[in-house]
Amino acid sequence: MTEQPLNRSFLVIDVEKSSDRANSAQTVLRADLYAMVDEALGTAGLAVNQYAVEDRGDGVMVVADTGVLDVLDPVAEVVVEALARRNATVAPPDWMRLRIAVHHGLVHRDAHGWTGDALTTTFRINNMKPVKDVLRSADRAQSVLVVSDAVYRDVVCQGYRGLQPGTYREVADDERTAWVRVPGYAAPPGVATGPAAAEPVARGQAITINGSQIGSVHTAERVDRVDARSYFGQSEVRR
Amino acid sequence: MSDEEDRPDEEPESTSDGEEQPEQADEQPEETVDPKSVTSDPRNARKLGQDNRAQEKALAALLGERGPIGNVIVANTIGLVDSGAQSRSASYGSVPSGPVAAEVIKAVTATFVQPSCYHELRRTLRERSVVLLRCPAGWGRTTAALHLLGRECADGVDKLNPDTSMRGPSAALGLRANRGYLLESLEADQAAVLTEFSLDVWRAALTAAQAKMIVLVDAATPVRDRDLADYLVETDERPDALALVRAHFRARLAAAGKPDQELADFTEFAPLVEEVVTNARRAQDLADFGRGLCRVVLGECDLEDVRRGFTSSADGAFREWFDETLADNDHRAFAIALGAFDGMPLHTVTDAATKLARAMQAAELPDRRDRRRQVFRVRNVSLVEKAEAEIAASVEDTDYGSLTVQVVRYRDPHRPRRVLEHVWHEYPEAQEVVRNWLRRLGTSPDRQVRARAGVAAGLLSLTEFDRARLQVIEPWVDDHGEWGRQAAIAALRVPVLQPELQPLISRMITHWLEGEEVTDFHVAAVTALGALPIMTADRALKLLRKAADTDSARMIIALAGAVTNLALDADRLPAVLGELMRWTGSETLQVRGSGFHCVVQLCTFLEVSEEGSSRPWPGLLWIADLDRREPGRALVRGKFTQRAAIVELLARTIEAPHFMQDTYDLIRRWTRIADRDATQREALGLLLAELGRATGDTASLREHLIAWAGERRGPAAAVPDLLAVMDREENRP
Repeated sequence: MTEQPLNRSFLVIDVEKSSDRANSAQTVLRADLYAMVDEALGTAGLAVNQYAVEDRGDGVMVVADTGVLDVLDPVAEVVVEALARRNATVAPPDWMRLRIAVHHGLVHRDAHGWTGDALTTTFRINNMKPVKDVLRSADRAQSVLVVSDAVYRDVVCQGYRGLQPGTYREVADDERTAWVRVPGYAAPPGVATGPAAAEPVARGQAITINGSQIGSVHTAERVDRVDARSYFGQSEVRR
Repeated sequence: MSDEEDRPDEEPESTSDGEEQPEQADEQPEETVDPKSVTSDPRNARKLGQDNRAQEKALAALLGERGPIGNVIVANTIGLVDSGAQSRSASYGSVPSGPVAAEVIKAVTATFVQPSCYHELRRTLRERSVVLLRCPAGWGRTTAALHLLGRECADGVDKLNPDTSMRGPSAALGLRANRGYLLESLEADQAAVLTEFSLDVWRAALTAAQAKMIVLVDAATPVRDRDLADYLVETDERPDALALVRAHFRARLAAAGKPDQELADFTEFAPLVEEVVTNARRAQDLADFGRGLCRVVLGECDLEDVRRGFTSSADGAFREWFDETLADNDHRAFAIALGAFDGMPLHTVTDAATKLARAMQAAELPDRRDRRRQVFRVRNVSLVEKAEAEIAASVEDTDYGSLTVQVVRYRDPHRPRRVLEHVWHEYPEAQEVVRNWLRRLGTSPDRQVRARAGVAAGLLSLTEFDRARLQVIEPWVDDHGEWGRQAAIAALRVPVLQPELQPLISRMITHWLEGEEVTDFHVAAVTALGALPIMTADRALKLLRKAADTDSARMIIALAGAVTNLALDADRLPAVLGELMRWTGSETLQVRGSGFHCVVQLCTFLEVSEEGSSRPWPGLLWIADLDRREPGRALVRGKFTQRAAIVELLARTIEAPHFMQDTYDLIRRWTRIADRDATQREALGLLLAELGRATGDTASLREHLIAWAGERRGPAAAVPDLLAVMDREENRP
């Protein structure tokens, strides 16, 4: 085991209901999944010594020596795009549907592989029942992306690279909290909206005084003026 | 100079020396036709199907699409009775207004190659919900927009009406959550006045609705760049051409059920691929090229065929061929006629070519006395050979069925369009002769001829829409009856493929509908609303509703035809049924009457081939039964099942005094079909039971059934089964 912990980012992908498929179909699924992951890591420009891909039976685990932002975008984004391209060639019942979890933290490496609480957390959030339920209820979705609470607050909420915190919803079980997004959905279906997520100022978020979403949306670092125009009778702060 | 000399190509069509035969034959005056004789006679479904198919084949020939020979019946899709093939029109790369079929999005995604601006486009769409994507024509902007909206909006994508105002979203749009909206072309007038404020309003509405929208703007369309910068994504850097060719090559290979292979595996393609990819072509051309290479692998054509269509050396060879190899008017006329009538019987092409050669001669030799022709001078074999054409077998529709005929066609399927474009662009004087020749052929009694003439004239409209409209399309509509109208609609099928022309055509059709009196233009507009996929179904039906307040026979026939054509698309059927609910419940007698005619025609004309059934099902019976078997299908006006709507429409029609007999006649027809196909009896019995409940008069239905069973060769086997089902349903606790 390495004596010093390593700071790494994690991507864990599980194929939904892979065990329901015949062996031959599973083989094809795995080949397709690995091709997607390879494409995604290649797009992120990671050298081969910057990541490790380990098989997990019905999924894969990626431990990457890069910032978690890179794992969210482009790696996870490319996986979602490649998945869409793959599924465009088959009928919906034969779609591959993925649960994709992203987290980061400290890990150790020994002769048998990687170990660490952060890595365990990545697997756990990917297997949370509410996450599985979200994918189950999103029948038009091909994947669900789940991030840890820390990743959500530290990275997603900052809106880097156009990440949209408003498209995530909080899910929790007895042990932990995570945040889910379903690509293609403005909000994950089947998750109670609840109180709005703690959402720091992000580029392009609508802010209205009267609570209605009808309002103009602007991007700036500070509130510098009040727009005198009224939209459907509402005043609006321009940020 | 005499008038004739001044306009030599506009000489009278019928002359004493028999030079020209009139194309307008014995078309029956439309107002003398009883609408019921059309709407309730299933034989007219075949005619409607033939008219549709003639136009689709004409468009396919012009665009170089040569599908398999023969009719293909597709199971479980709505078609027209006895029409041979289904009449679902191909879109040829264009997207009809309204919901974009999931299959289209899938096809786009399967071959999508990300342009360099893709990430910026996606980020802007996510942040702002509405994006203006400005790039050159041929860049692949519609593909990029459809792909991105398909990815970001799980509930699907709608293409907006081409004349949608960008000042702000109207309530009629009904923006829905997780749905994407595409405005395929922003008109220059709209672009010039588009402000950030308008886009802010769009953004707010889209965000509130959790929807997203992309507006495509041509690179040449000026917008207020600085004002709209936050919403504008602009690029002229095209997607990787080689990747595009590869993607379409592999997708076509996969679609053909072949093992995956890389384009690079075929070294013999390399020089041609290099040449085509280097000469930056339109994305559509590159996609066609990739598919063309795949056809070579599949043995459907050879590499030379593909080379002819896509290389610049082929351009030079083409010009040399047209300008030098075709030595005289006879050969050029044949080449142009074949451009318009590619894939039609040799005699049709030579007849048309002879007429054109005469018109050319008349233009060049205004003095009629000098226009002697040597009738044995040119042989067909010489014409075909010099035109680089070939004789092939094809299946032609006739009034009494299909038969295999010998047809003549260019060896290069892209040549018809090239020839016509060459004439349009290079020879202004010949253009006028050809235009007048097409105009005459557009009123031919032969539906194939008028459809081909229409589509060929439509090609002109791509570059000079207003000229084509004024000189060909509107003259066809004006006082040339059904045949001229069909040529005009065929002509419009070409420009509707161009997003930038769609707003104009949409407005033109709306303008044609103005005024109270029923005119040729009214009827043409109604026909166009059913035939051209230019407006959403809701918008088209709303316009048809205004036209439905009529007692004009030809207008009612046109309305029923338009409604039937709309109903052939299963995605549009719920909207059609909803509109007919409105019409048949109208307080206006004439609107109700039009509605009943349409209901009778839908019941009479539509059919579906179901696997396991020996006879095609009546279309509405099949839809009603599908609703029963598969609950949760699309609703009519958001509240009725399609089954409930069909039962209600039948109930209203059977209760309308003037239509009672027609409704019983069509139920009798359905009963006779069920007599021959036992698999339909349960479904029909259930529908009749519900119809009886809706009208409160099951007894009359039963009496009719029993009477029909007692007729000579009546449906004696089906009726007991139907009555048993009705008994069961009535006695159900």
